[in-house]
Amino acid sequence: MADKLIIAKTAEEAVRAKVFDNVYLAGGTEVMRLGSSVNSDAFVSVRKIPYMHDIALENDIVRIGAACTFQEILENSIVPAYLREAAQFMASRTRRNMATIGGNIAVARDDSFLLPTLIAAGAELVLKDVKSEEQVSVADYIAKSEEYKSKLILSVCVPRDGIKVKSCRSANTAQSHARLTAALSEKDGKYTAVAAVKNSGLYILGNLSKAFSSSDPSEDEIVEIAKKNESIKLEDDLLYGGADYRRYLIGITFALMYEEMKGGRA
Amino acid sequence: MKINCIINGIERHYDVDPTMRLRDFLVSKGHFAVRDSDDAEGFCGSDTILVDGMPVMSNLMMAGEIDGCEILTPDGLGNTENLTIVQKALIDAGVVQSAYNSPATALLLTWLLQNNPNPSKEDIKDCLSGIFIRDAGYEHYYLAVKLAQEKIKDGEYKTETAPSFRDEYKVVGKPGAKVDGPQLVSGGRAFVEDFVDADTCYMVCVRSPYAQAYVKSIDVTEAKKVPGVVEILTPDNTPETHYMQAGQGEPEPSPHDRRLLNPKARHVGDRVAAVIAETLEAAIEARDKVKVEWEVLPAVFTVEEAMAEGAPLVHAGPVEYRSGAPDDLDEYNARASEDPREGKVIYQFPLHGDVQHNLAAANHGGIGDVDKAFEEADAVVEATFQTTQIQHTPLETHICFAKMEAGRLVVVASTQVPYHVRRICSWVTGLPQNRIHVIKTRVGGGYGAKQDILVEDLTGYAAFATGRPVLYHNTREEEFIANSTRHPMRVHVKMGGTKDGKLTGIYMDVKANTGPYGNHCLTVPMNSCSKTLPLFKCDNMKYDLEIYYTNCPPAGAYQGYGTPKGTYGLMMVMCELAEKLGVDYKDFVLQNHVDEGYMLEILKGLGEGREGNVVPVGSCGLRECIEKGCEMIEWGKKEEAPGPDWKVGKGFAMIMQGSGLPGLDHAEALAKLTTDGNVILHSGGADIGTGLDTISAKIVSELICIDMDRITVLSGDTDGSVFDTGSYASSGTFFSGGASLEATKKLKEAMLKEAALQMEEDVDDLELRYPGEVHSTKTDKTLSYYELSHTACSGEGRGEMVGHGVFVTKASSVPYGAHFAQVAVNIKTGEIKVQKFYALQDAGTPINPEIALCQMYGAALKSIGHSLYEDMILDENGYCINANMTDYGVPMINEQPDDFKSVLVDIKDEFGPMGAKSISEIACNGAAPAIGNAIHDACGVWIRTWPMTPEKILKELGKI
Repeated sequence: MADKLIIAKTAEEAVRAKVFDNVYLAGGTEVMRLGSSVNSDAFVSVRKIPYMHDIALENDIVRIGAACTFQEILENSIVPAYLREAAQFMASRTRRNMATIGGNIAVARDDSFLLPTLIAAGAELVLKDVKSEEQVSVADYIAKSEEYKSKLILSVCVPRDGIKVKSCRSANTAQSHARLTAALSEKDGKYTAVAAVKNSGLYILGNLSKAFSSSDPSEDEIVEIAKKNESIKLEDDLLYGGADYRRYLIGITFALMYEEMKGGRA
Repeated sequence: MKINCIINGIERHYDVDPTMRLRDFLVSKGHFAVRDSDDAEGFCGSDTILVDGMPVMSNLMMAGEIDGCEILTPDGLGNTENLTIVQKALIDAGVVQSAYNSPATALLLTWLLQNNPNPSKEDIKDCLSGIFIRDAGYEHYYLAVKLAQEKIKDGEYKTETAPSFRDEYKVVGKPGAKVDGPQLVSGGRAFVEDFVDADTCYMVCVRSPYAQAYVKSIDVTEAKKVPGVVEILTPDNTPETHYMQAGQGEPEPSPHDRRLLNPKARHVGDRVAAVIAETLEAAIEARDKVKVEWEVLPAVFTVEEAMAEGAPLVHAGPVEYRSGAPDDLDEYNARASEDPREGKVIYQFPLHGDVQHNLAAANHGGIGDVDKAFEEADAVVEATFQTTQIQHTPLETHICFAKMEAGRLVVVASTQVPYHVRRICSWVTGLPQNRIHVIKTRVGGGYGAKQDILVEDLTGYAAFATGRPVLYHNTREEEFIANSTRHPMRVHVKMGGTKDGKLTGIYMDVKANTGPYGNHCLTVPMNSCSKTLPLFKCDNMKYDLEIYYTNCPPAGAYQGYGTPKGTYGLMMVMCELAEKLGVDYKDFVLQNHVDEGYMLEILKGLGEGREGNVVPVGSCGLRECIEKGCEMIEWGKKEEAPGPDWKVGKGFAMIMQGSGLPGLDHAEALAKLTTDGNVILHSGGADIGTGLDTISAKIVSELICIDMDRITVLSGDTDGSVFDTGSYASSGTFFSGGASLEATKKLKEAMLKEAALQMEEDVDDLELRYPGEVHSTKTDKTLSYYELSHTACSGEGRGEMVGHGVFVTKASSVPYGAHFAQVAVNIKTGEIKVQKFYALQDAGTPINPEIALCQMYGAALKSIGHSLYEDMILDENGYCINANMTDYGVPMINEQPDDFKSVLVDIKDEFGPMGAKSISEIACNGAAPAIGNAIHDACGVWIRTWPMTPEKILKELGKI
């Protein structure tokens, strides 16, 4: 928790207030939650910045204000169906009324609700600091988190047409942390497979993406590729399952999504 | 920071610390119905409010963020005298039970209907997706919405809230208003936290980080310097009295094996010191400054480890017996550790334990000859089942407020057993019971967890020792690591039968893990045999039962006791045996279950550490439950799978429980006629949200012939009531309700006797009649209760009319039932979906039918959770790695079966009050075997450990 709360009314106010180790506060479902690792002298609330709640369609790209809640995303028909599907992964309606897309990206959890889908979709972020605004891919934002973490996420840009994205979440119960969140996209024959694996990390699965893009692998082949993917660091986990199970789960999940994407199953 | 906001329609201006959690701020302003049951985990939804018309969790917002906002809290809806339509509908639907989250659900559903007057089932599900309900399940919330819609549209309900039973009664067996419903749903003062004095001190505990360790020293020097610290309790300045925390009748079948603060920690989270300070912050700061020097010892966590030769001992000190000591006790104790930190283990009577081998208790017995029975069988199946450690997760975590008042200790407790609390507080303080007053508030969820005196002992002692009011409140993590849990058990079952479908023999070998202390160590595991084997019409049955101490978090009472685990093993083996014999499982069960009049010889050895009562089966609706359930679920019909990778299967289990403990339980009540002719009933019983007070009020209403609003039931107050062993072992309706009936009968007798004198008539010519008058069948004269009572209490009267009822019995009224599941299993991912779950039960007369149905839903959903999701996971050091709600995995509305039905089978019992038996606890027993058998039917695998996870399915299917 913090000793000071700064409520920003504009993005400019927010970035000016982001000094020292001050932390942006959006929905509060991560920062304020029990066990939060976020500690700071001051929180800078961006919840009340009107611009950051806008959702607009701009040349086939949907621009979603970073303070939009999961529920606002879910209810807005401009937002592509694949992202609305991922927003629904947060099972609690009350939390969906609070949690924001920007917050979910910024905390970059390994059981993230949205990151695999956003990365698979090639989503980009508009970032702002006191000096400038810039646009980076979500994948880059995560990969270079140290470079970008002090910047305010103003909005998230996601493609609306010309891309197919499927997402899947596996958890003990709807409210439990996900052991696996997976997303698979296809655009012009090129596939991207992304997985958030609890207590392991967030992965863009190059070998699976390549296999989907270059051949038409069978279910067994996909499971084998996943099992042999050494970039995924997995150990037996008391809470989320054995390493063999989770490797198999990654494989079978992508196999089923791939088949569905091809129209092979309803 | 100065903020302006509107709270519940009133403009407010505050100067606040903007970083304070919004929930704390609202509570500080009197909105105490905005509750916290997860320490700001954002899980349970008890802290739900509306901010600018949107439901949010107030624990996850800062107070400064509501500047300029409009807030609605649950107490901003109707109050007890003026309930809103939604609040009333929730009560009428039967979902307001322990009710810790009822105000929040009322708020959410009000919001839903205001924004969507015709919500679909999915809309309602979505609305309640952030609310955890453990007591009543979610099914009747759909009904509540429907009722509210009808009331709004037509001015009255069109839908029946529940079926009615017993035409001869006016309110018994009929759905009707729960007497504490308005107080609970509107967020009135109800729970311990609502009755805390302004000058209270706060207590926090110093807990062991080790599974087993001696305390070498405790240095409190720095801790005492923290401003506001009042006292620090340690093993050195607290009594050495050995006792136990189980709420059971004395002498207890649980060893006295602990002290208030133990100098030897026996599990991670064991308390070794307690800090009392004037603020919670000071108490926590001081706790963190208490320096404990530990001598870490090796530990054991499983029964197998505890049984091993040379295993580390959980209790290595001497053993004493209050009665029945073995002849070789001195020799035995000569081998005990002499380290005083070990303390001692005191048995009230022999439980066949051997602490030098970690054996806390044991029991063995049976009837007939099982070996011969297996030889004669055409097929024998043998399998071992393992269950894990499960937490009760009541929404209201354990809490106690205690203070000294006029030389007496007042203990305000959320408990199932006020009189046992008084006895144990008496033991630890040394105060006689006349100087202890226990006040049970409403209980925000118990399920057996509050049958144990886990916090009242230390809180009571702290108030006594310091003379200051003291509040103690478990965190959610402490609820997991420092409370009682369901015993992990290993149940080995061997069963034989013949091809003509006859069961020849059953053998059960049960090994239970009681953790570091022996609360209920015999009785809970015993139920795995005593509440299962009497289901079977079988001449040859044998059981071996052993309970071991380990260094896991403590185990204790849990709704169902050991029965769910015994049922899991027995009914799955029975299903497997049917398959092996080539007979239909349904026919096999129908051929071998007991029916009325069958003499239960097996009960002889299955008492609570004493010889049990051999009785015939009484009223029994078992066959009807099985047959009706099979019809409902279309037993034998193969269902269409929801997709190419899915397989669908069906399973069921027959179940039983008890109605209290005949020969052991004891309940009393006092009924008195007020001077205006109304009734106050003082019940010794402890209503823990299950509607016991309503049952008592209904009984009074029927016998005294007055409306419910002329009756007040006061219960759970040791000063104001008379003795009752408490609400556990399914005793509430049967015993405490029985006492209310006896008291009311006595009051009726007194009223008729007094009326005969006043009316100068013969008692035999008088009757009580609605709406509250004495009537002479001979002269047709009447006397109002007002006149009757007023005259009796006037200057020349004979005094207030009072009835004192005592209920004890050797009769056993057993509730029976059958639970059915239809599951879909994804053979590629291992995912399991419970598509249908039907709970059919014979509960005698359901006095509160709508409440009874909800308890069945709640208990069944809870046991679905145990079967599929819930598991306390310990690491190699005994530390629970998922001691929070999110990671632990309780079922919520999204986990509820799509088609969920509770059905009350109409059977009137001979012994229970108004023909009633118990209802709720039995509903915990069927899910695991019903689901396990359905999984087998779906995909051919037997899952013999719970929780039954996708990973286990895939392993059995050979996928991994």
